[in-house]
Amino acid sequence: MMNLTTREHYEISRRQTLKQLGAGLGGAILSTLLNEDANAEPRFHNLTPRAPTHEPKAKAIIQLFMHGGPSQVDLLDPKPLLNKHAGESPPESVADDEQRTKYLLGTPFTFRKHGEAGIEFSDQLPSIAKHADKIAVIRSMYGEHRNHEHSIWLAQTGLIIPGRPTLGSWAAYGLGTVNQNLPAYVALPDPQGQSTDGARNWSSGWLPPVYQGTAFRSEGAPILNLHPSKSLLGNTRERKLNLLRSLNKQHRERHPDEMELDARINNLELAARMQLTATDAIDISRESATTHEAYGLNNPVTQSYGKRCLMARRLVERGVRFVQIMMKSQPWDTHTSNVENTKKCCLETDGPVGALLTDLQQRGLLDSTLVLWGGEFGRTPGAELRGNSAKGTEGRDHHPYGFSVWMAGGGIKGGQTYGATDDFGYRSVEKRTKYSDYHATVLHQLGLNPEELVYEHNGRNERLIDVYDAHVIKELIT
Amino acid sequence: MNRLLIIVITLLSFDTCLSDETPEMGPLVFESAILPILQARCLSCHQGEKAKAGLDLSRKGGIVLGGKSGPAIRISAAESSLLFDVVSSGKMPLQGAKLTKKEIGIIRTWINDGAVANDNEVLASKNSEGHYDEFDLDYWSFYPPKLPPLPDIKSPNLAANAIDYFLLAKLEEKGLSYSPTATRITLIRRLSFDLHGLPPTAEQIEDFIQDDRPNAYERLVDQFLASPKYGERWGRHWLDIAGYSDSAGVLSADQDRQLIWRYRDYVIRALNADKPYDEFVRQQLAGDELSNYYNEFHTADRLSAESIESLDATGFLRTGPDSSRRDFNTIKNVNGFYYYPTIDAQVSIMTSSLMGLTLKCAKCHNHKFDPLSQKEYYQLQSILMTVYSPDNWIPFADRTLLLASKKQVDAKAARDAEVDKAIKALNDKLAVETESRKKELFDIRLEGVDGQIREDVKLAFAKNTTDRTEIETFLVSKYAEHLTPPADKLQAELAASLEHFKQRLDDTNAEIATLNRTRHVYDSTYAAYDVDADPHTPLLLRGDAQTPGQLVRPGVPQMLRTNTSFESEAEWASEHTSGRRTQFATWLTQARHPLTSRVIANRLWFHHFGEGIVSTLEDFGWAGENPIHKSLLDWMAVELEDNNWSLKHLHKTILTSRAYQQSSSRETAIAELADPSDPQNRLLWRQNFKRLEAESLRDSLLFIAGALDSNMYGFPVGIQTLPSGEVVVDSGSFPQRRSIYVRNKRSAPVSILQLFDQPDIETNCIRRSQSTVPLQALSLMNSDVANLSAEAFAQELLNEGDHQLVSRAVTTAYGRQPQAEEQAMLQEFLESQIKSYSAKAGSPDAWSYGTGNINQAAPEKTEFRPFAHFENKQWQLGPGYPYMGGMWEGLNATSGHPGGDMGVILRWTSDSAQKIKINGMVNHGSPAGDGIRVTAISNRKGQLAQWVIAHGRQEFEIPPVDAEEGEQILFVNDNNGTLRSDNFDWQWQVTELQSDDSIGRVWDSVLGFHGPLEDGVPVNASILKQALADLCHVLLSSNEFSYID
Repeated sequence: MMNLTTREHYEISRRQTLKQLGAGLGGAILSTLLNEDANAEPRFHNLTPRAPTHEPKAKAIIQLFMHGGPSQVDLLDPKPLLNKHAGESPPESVADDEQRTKYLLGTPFTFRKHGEAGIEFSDQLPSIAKHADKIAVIRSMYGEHRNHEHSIWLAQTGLIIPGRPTLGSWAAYGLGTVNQNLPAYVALPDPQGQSTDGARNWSSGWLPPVYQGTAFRSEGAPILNLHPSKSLLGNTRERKLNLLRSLNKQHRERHPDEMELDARINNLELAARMQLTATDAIDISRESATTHEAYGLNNPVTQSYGKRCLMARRLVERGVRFVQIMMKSQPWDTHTSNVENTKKCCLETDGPVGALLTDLQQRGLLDSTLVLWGGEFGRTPGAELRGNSAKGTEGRDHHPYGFSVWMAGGGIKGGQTYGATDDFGYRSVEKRTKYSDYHATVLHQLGLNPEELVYEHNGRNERLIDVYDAHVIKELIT
Repeated sequence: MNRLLIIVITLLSFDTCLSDETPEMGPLVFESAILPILQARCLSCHQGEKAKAGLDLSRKGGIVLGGKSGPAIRISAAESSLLFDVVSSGKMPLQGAKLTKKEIGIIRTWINDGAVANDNEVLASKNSEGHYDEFDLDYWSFYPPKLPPLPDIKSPNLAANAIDYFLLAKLEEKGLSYSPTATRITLIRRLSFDLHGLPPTAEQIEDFIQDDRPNAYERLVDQFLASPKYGERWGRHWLDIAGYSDSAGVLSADQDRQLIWRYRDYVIRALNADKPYDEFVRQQLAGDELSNYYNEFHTADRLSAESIESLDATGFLRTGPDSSRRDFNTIKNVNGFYYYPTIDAQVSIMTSSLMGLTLKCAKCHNHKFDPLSQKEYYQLQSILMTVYSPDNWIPFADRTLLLASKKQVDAKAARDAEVDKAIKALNDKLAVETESRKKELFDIRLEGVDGQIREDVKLAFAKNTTDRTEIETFLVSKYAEHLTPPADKLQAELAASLEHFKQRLDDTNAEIATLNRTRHVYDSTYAAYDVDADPHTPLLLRGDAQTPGQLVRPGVPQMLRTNTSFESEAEWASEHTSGRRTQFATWLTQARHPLTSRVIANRLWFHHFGEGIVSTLEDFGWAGENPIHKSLLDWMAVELEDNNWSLKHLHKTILTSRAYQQSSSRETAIAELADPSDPQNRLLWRQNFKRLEAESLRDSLLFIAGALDSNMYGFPVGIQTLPSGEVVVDSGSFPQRRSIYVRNKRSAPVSILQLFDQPDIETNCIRRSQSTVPLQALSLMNSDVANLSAEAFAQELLNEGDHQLVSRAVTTAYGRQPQAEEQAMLQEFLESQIKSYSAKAGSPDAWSYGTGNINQAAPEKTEFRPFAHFENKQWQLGPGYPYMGGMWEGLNATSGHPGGDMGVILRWTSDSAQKIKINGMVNHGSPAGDGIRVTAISNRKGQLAQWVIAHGRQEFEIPPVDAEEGEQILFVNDNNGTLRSDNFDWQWQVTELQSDDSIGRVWDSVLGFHGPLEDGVPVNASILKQALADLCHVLLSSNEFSYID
């Protein structure tokens, strides 16, 4: 290596940093990251739209997060040998890791081929199966941990440690949002209660809070502080706003060139508009009776999930970048009575999800909306016996070593299954897919380069894919 | 050669061994189980000096160390091990037969069982030690700071102290100078927010403006630095970098770290006492070792205050997030897997806060920019390994020390044993008596049984179970609970029926309580202390706990040129502790350490100017900013050290510089010159314009409203998650404590603080981000804390009379008099609000207040009983609230509470025949209870509408109805079944609709609220207050309130 002067060496290091930080990113992000550039914007963050690094296939994402971990062998990954050898010991090649399960547990559900491509779905997912030709099932997912939280962190934030930004936060950070009257990233929690890991499911971690998910309630006012909680004197609001505008205007005139004040003033107007927009965005009473029926809003079993699916469509239609639909606690966590509990989860969600896909398709939104379905892991092909579980009430344990998720729309090549688990559904063996590959593919569809979407935090260039050797899965995309 | 021989032998006997021993075998051992497989399939390429891809598979050390593609296995994690991946997928071996399923299974099991081997020699990674040339080490921040000479400047008259010389020199180079000095009002506000995080009071402003002594400003600086509010403001800055949180971050539960507030209080006290910074740092790193704690613990009667303070200080090393849980045993033999994130976080907190270095990348590889090797990272980690040993892991909740000496602990144990014994004796005695009274209870209670069956019951109980008839069995089952209560209820039942036993029970309980009070009780604190005298610290290949590499000893980065080096640890160890942290702390706080004083001086500068001299507060290395004002930073670093590391001295030096006192305006002659070439103001030709931080904003709202509780210290104030998802302080009621005392829960940050960029504490926060989003505006417009502050502010103003309301409001909120035009605008707003509200108030006698229950059969006949008592602006049943301790019925202007078996009623009476419509808002704010029920009833038409409101806010509209003269509308609020958390807010508006459906008169229940009318309570009071609250609210939401000039 040639002998450089200190200064030259310094400049090289510095250029490397700049390159790593900024390559391929829009100038706005670069300048917010590197405040020291004399011509840069001041270091404050907002959600103004930012150009992707390449032509995006998906403009929005709807993430249907299946808390608890749905069973792959009962839903998406048929294993005839599992049924054939039901009741026998797990095969030797996996026995050591399956000490918690007792014997192979077959599925009572039947799988049928659907669509032109003939991909197989369990009879528990009849509505989703109708969209077989739009869906790509990844059967070769694997994770790194057997606990819910750690796996949720992996699935949502890329590593099995807490405190990192979620996929939705990265999307908001990378792209901002086109509709400034609504948040970029909306979470739709189950009104019945929090999901496992609560608000961290939409946390921005160490990304600035502006990129965190905003939880919309499906009852009452959707956003925090949309209305004053203790007053009916709404009709004086406009007069107060007018006075506030005047005061801020005078203050701004005394502070020329303080651009941040413009942003604040602008935000006041946005906030005033958001009071109308946000309420309208989730006002499903404006939808037709046919739509209500399609989403299952007239059926008490599907009503709650259906309502959130319909809200998700309305939000995406209005330019929200990332919508996340959550379920209370972790309903797919079928340690006991796997059959009964899996059925129940399917009954609540399959119809609404199918309706959502249909609706997106009919409105021409599916091409630009990526729909993600999956939990934090799958479930063991072996039976878990707890307490006095008898035949028919066996459960399945957590299983990160091979499980299935699916994607549809947003430039995904439907009508295919990708990768495979072994004969019994234990282990991902073909085209093994780790979460960083999954995340890389999702970011790619949004027009973001997973290698280059970085945020400098405590001196390190952090990425969603961290230091994994992550690959965009080309076979999955058009 | 020997090894090869063994392989051959093992190989020969392999098949038989396996089939015989598989079922009963312990963990597979590398040499006997794995090596034969590898020998047959892999070693022809992967062995020895010239192994392919640098991967030597002939010994476990080589496998763990791995080759070009990294470690070949991760211990206990076959699924993510390269070796397992390539053999199971058939990628390897490239040539020859693939491994059989059975062989793959064996490899998998071996890895998952902990990769046991006889030869456990760890091979050192060649890449973990840096090899650096001179120029790598040649960076300013790696050398000790030296006192620079003062530069010559053209206008020394502009310089108040040395700081100005350095700044002016650079400005003059560019033909620039300072902006004019700011006005006194600006100066006192700037000082007050910077040092206290609160606005100055009107008196403080007045005093300062009137003070014509030449050193008035300096006196003000002294006065502000002496206030305890300084510690609360600057303590918050420190807690950010220390990663302080009141919860541990453990999974969903995110359990509370109950005692960590003692560390928060230590920080506030230390800053207020101006504890020298070097001592402050040493105490936080090694307070247990440096104080006399261990001696005192073993020999003294009690711990000294100094020792207790020192233990509290080490809470600094107990802030890291911790998701370890002992019952996570699904991955075998690698507890480190769960523990290392906590250790790494603590190392990161320590180094980023105190040293301004970002070492995170060196966890996995040598630092890319700085001459800092991976090995050095683990040497630093080793300093904390005595406290956080993965082999001797203590759950976060147990990382505490009792604040007591051994003598006290022993005495406590002895006393506890005595007390336990005495209590047991009392209980035993009572048990005997309890047993002996069974018969008495039976007889007495039998007397109470219906005479007709009494004898039958007696007879039934006298018989054996098997002898009883069907009827007798029934009787026994029916009366058993009553006549022969089970053991756990027996004492209570005896006490209920036998007066003398009740006395006996009460006496015993009283004696037990007395005994319990004689126990010795000591507080505990989260403290750092050694749990392991000399734990192993392996270098983790790629930062992965499942690929441990060579062991390292404690050490510090060699790139830092210190006058005194980091000595071997043997000298520091004592009987009770390894001394590693003391050694590190001493090294770190030595005079002219390259980083310590520079980093803290830069931090002080950052908070006073809104930007650091080194703008990358977290990175003083190569990739950080190479500052323009290096000499100034060095001057301040030396100034700090040479003044006994007094932070207050350095504050005062900065604050009394002319640089700090400059105007922030961009409308000056200097700005014309400077703005185009230095828009970022890096040369400091003006002071920066700053936004209030989250805590300052919330605290200031409360302070202006007179609703800030100024109590200091102690257990954190609780938080509550409302049904809306909003997280509020306590129940949301006023007054409230300062934000630094509010529970900081990682999983539930207080909404208004989070919105204004209070950081999510992952590890720690060196520099807060600043965002500008619409939700912030919504929060200032509509959150309870903003609305309630506005109301309280208005009330404060009214309490001092109703003269000059507008100018007093502006002066309090902004610290300045309103300008004439502004005054007129605000006055006009106030008057138009009053006018508009007056139109809505209607006639006060339209409203009356009472109680009653709905007549279910005929709602129109529902009885209305007027309240008899009015106190504290509330109607209720009698004096005191709740009346008689349990009568919750009450109604005030905006809220109320139903009773246990009676509703509360707001009644509106129509003064004429008219068409009306009714609007209402009801809010049930508590997440608890089953909510409330609201019914609107006409005494002519019956029930108009009914709603149940639980955990939230609803608005209603009742469609237009024709009201007769004298018709009454009753708004009945009852408890919906159970009396629990039934407090509610409501507001009703009855609107007259004229013949063309235009709006006529409006009666508003809030604006029209009144006490007893004969007392002449002025109705206007609530209108004026509401109008003024609107004005106050606008002032508090305005940009001027949130920014410091």
